[in-house]
Amino acid sequence: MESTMKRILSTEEIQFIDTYLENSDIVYADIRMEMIDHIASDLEERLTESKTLTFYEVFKDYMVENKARFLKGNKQFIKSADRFILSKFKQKIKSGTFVLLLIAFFGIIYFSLDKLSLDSIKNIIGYSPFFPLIPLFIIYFLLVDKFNLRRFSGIERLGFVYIAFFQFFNLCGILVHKNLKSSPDLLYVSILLSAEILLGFLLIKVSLEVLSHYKKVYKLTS
Amino acid sequence: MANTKLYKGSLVTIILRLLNENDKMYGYEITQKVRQLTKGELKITEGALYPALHKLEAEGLLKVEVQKVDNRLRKYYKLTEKGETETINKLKELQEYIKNMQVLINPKWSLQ
Repeated sequence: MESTMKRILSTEEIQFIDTYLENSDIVYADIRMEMIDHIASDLEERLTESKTLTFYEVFKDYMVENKARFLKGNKQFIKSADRFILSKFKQKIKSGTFVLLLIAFFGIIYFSLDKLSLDSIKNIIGYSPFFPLIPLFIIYFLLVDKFNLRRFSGIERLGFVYIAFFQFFNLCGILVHKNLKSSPDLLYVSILLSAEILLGFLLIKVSLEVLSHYKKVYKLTS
Repeated sequence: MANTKLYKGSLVTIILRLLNENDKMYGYEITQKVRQLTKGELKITEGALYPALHKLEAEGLLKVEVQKVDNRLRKYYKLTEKGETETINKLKELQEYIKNMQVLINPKWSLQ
């Protein structure tokens, strides 16, 4: 019985697929990694069966057939990264610790504000939109740089979450400012401020968890 | 080729069932296994498979591990404990669905 030797793609051929996908705007390393394995597995099967065709011929045929599907798949991959981050937030918000912390923060802030002057409160509120920039700094400038990460979908998509939080905190700041100008209501201000601070902590926790997930799965080391 | 729309709602159950049978699998392997088991009738596209795998991963039903295989990195999917429980539930649901469909498409009506 004739046995068929499986054709395995070389490192250079794998690199060729990687570069091709990167040039086709599939920029995230984790997405490309899974696509490369899928494409390479299919190409290896075709090359093992044909024996006469070269890697480049098979690759060209494969891309003519499937490139559009892969590009469409890229968008789905990005959505999955968003869903992953969202699920982390949901887990945290649903937990009892979140509610307890919210109550604790509210209590601390409410009684602290009572002792502060109106100007000091205004100053605190003025800086609050910058809270989400703290985790941004930690993740991007310290950890990402330390671990020399390539572009990973989940980590980069966190950037959109930071922007969304910045906008939310900004809106809270405007609302609180308005309230302080007209008729200061410490209860209202405390609720908004405690929600802001807690969400800031939540953002740091989720950011670190997302980063740790990528470090663990992709075995990233410093 | 099979009408893929009919299978769409069962994709998650198919994936969970396959992973329950095998310790760990990677994306391409799942597509090939399905093709082989259905004798080429059902072809799962990567556009449908990977989003489903990632959704299951985000829901905590699957865990992943990356290994270097044949000059490249390969992402393997495995069932978590939660995933094992969900597989049983999904299979029950699917069996119930098949049973009901059989009653509907092949009714044994009588005049009594």
